Amino acid sequence: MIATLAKREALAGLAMVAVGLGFFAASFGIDVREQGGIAPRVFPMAGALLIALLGAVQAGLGTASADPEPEDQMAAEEGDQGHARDAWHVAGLLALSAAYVIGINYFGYLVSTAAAAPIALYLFGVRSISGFAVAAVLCPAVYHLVFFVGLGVFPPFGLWFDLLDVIQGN
Amino acid sequence: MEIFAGLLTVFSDPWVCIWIVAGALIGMVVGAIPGLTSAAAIAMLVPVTFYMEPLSALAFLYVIGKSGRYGGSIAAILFNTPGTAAAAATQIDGFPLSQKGLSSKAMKVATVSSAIGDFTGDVLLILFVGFIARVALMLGPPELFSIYFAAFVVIGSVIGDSILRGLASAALGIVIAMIGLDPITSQDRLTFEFYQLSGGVPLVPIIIGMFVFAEVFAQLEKRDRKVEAFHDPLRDDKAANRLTWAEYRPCLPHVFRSSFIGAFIGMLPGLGSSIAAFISYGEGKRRAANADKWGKGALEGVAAPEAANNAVSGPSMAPLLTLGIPGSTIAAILISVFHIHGFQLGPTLFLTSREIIYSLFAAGLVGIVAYGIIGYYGAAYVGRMILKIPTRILYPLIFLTSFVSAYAARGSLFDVWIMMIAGVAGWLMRKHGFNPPAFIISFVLARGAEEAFRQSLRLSDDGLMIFVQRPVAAVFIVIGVFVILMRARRMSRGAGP
Repeated sequence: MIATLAKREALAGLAMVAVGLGFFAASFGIDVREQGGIAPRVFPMAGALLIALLGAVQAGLGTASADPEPEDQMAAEEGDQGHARDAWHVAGLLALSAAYVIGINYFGYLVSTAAAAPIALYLFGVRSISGFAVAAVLCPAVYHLVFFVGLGVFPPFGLWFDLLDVIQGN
Repeated sequence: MEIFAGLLTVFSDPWVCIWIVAGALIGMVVGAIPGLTSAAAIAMLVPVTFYMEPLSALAFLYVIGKSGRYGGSIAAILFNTPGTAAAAATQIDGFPLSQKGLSSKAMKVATVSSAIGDFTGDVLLILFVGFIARVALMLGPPELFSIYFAAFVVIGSVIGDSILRGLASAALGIVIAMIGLDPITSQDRLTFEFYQLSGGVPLVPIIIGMFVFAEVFAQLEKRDRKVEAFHDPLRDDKAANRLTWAEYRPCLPHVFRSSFIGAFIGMLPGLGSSIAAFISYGEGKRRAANADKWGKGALEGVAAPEAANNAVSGPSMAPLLTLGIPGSTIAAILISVFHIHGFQLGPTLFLTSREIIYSLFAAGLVGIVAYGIIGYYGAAYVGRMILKIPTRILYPLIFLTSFVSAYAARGSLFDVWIMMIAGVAGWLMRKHGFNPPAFIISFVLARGAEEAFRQSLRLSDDGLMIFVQRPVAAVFIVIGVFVILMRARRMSRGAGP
């Protein structure tokens, strides 16, 4: 267990180093020829460098305490199976999120929400067909009425098709 | 005297009163749902408030924050799961009381103590905020930068368990805040050719992502875990759950002491409710005559942390209103509401918008009464209702709401992408022990800090030495360094990185 935790610490540290160095390198793209001198670079660079340095310390501490033991490896493998199942759920929700936003862009809010609501319920364990049907009708209707009618927010219209156009007779 | 005018303003507008009561109810329910926090509720509701009157919007969200801090105790007492981090201290004695069939009594103690603590904190805020604002008016850019510096260090190193990851979270907040146009030279920084980023990374989608979307992912991971069965609070013996004066009187010294502890901690940026609750619990137990009963179901053990937890609420607004430095995540979120309604935070706020500020304080006092009454008589019903809400339906709805809320803030799908990225980042940060609140507060502070830093350098004849030559600035720099050294010392003694 200790070895697994230490490995995670080291990985988290390396991720911090990568993020820090990435932003540090990007900071060199900030133009310093104008009247601000180097000042526009100071905060982004200092922040990025701090992340990288803290990451290096974190990785160092993690690596120093990582000493794999057989029991740890078994426990880690058992835990990994549970994590793998969780990872599939999470990947599914992530894919749904991306597809939902792309769907809103091309098919408008109503159709995309009607499609996304049952899938989200499914991912959380709902298996009722009537529940899916109710969600597909009620969710887009309620959100549309609250946000786009009630609050007057301009709805995101679909580039290819939008049910709102059909409903409004455009 | 301004507070009486504020109370008159609140009571003369029925809509403000309605929003206050709604805020009290929503905050209590959201705070009581394990996993959801009042910060998450406020983040989702911020875009809605852009379309409201300024006082109604601010009062609604402010009261959600207050009531949410209290609502966390309901879940702690009933479900042995703190609704908020601060309620974990309440859980120590609250859940044993619930196991004895005294959950309603414990919730009544939590309600009364929260209301007294909150009221004490608000009164101290009302009495002293004007004085702090007058002092703040005398501060120049070097002093302001050094206060920002101390705030960054405290926020990064004190919130959470790991100083390294806390500081890294704060540093990431600074870097992300630098994206967009440079405030002085107006050149693009770190925009990676996305023209939408020229105006900077918007706060509302980031907050919704970090606190709402990330929680949906966290809950999805937990969906297969077994749900423990809890008893219905309304089935407890009613006579045994009546709270008498004789029972509450021993709690009072703990409540007053904890209120002052909470109010003091609330003024310090980043420390927050959970630290106040645990310090008060520890201090209460140390001084208690019946210390052996604490941890086994002592009413005082519920009263002390709850008073401290809520006493933080009012004073945490002091650095926000007087310096523009948010003392808590909720205060950081409120910044966007102040800005959207045209209020410039900082000491001049008390010169330009005194009326709305004292009306907001008055709304806070009315909100305390509202959640006090609703909680005293209705906490058991709220608990029962939460027992009946299936998370497999609640979280898909929250998932869909986070998208439309992120869109509604500016009517931009680009903001929805930002919300998603922030959500995934927030979920990963929490999973690996990083600190989303430190990230958010630093993100909000960074632009002001940079402006103060660059103005200081322009004023200075000796470069960075200006931060040492000015006594007030030097004191805050020393405080920041001292905090880092103290935390590093604790870390080296075995507390871990």
